Amino acid sequence: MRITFTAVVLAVLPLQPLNADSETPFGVLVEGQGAAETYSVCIACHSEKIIAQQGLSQEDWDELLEWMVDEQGMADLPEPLRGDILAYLTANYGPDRPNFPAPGDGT
Amino acid sequence: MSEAMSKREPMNKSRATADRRQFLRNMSLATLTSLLGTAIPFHRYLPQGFVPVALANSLIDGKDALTLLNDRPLNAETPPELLDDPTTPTARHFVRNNGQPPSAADPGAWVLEVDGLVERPLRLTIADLKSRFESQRKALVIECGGNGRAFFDPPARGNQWTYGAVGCSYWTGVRLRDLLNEAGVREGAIYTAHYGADKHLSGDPARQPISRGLPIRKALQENVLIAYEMNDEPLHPMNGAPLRLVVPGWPGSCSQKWLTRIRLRDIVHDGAKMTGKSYRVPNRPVAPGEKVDKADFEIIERMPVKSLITFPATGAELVERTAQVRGHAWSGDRSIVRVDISTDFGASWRRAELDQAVNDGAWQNWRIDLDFAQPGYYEIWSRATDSGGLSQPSAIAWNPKGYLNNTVHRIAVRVS
Repeated sequence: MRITFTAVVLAVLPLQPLNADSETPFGVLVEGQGAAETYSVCIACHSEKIIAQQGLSQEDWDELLEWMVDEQGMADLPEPLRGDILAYLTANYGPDRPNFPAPGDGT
Repeated sequence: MSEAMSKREPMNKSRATADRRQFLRNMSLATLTSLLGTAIPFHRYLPQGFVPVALANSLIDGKDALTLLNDRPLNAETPPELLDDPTTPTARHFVRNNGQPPSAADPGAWVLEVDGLVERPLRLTIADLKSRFESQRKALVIECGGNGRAFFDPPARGNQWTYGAVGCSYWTGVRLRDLLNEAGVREGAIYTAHYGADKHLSGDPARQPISRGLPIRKALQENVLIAYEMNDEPLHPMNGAPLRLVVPGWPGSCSQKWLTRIRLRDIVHDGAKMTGKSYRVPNRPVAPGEKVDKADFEIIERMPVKSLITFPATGAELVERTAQVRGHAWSGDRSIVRVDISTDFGASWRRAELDQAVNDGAWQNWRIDLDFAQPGYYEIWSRATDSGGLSQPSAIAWNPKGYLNNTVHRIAVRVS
């Protein structure tokens, strides 16, 4: 039943409007300077949903990007790309959590 | 994931999943009712963008209304009120993945190796496990080390689990201890190292998404299992099919999924997420937001005393002045000796009726009948105390990675 259902849904996907509701062209990430760069670099390995859950200071985002390179196999990011991503994350996903997803979002 | 989904590339899969959700939100009533196969009597009350539970379930095959935190890697938790059963149905057991699960896990061809500092390395199929070792069936608590992280201030990085990264299902398998005895633990072995068949998110085959271990003394405990069944069925793919470790009472990351190898080592295992700050807390109390040197972090072992209110759901409106309130309580490597309930913000407490655990490593169920003096807004708080004399605190012992939040569970109800 579920596989049938999945097949039905996938078959009609192209007909659906893209990014209506709360989603932007960058999935659940809010729009803003650096959003496109952040989205395209990060989703190479993981969903943007893990990004949107965070509320980190610039220092902590910086450390997290380092950890991605040192421990998780991400390629070194050249400037100004790295700076743009860091600025976007800090501005939109800081400790005051201005864009924290509503509970249950995504189910 | 269904077969159709699992054949797609990871990035497409993420996109497809997001698109499918979008589709579910945007579809017309006619589409909705045809997918459900029935009419929706109260359809005019359905909010715009609402995904009926019956369809949301299909977003993770075999899981029922979990809250999705992340879809690549897949991480999903269970709302507390859906953990109300005495033990946890498979459909309501949380999922915490670190990497990409194996896409085709053939139970018949699966091999577990036990090697390293052993007298006789073992190479065992699941059929070997069943025929050569005594089988065990136990209800065992698995809780993610980061359960409750969402309430840290300042926020701690990682999946923002609230309450439901915990479950207590029946697991059937063999004791890790029996395998280690069969292999013969050599002098000098102090730690196990666990390896699974999931792949690192970067796609780099040289990297492990996660490889954690246990001190030998823990690995030799009676209730540490290598499980091939969950609730009397083969394991759910997202819960480690066809073979996994179940280490009750310790961070869920010790319970390696898709288990392929256990190696005995003469050092504290240094695999992925054993080192740095992963599954570690500072060796001293720290201020919220304090920077702590890597060298000052210690590996988390047992999980702390905790309780959960699973009935009623938070936000419930009670039309009568009396209600049964119930839930579970657990503490790693310890038992629960009492559970106390408050309806006046902790000013006074009443002792709940508490069951024994069905076996060592299971959570304990509790219940209490409450009377509410007058209509109004109430919070119901639950606080467990364990056999070591420790109770749940009211405030979070903040730590940089957001582990071990075992504060009292609070729900809100309105009595009308």
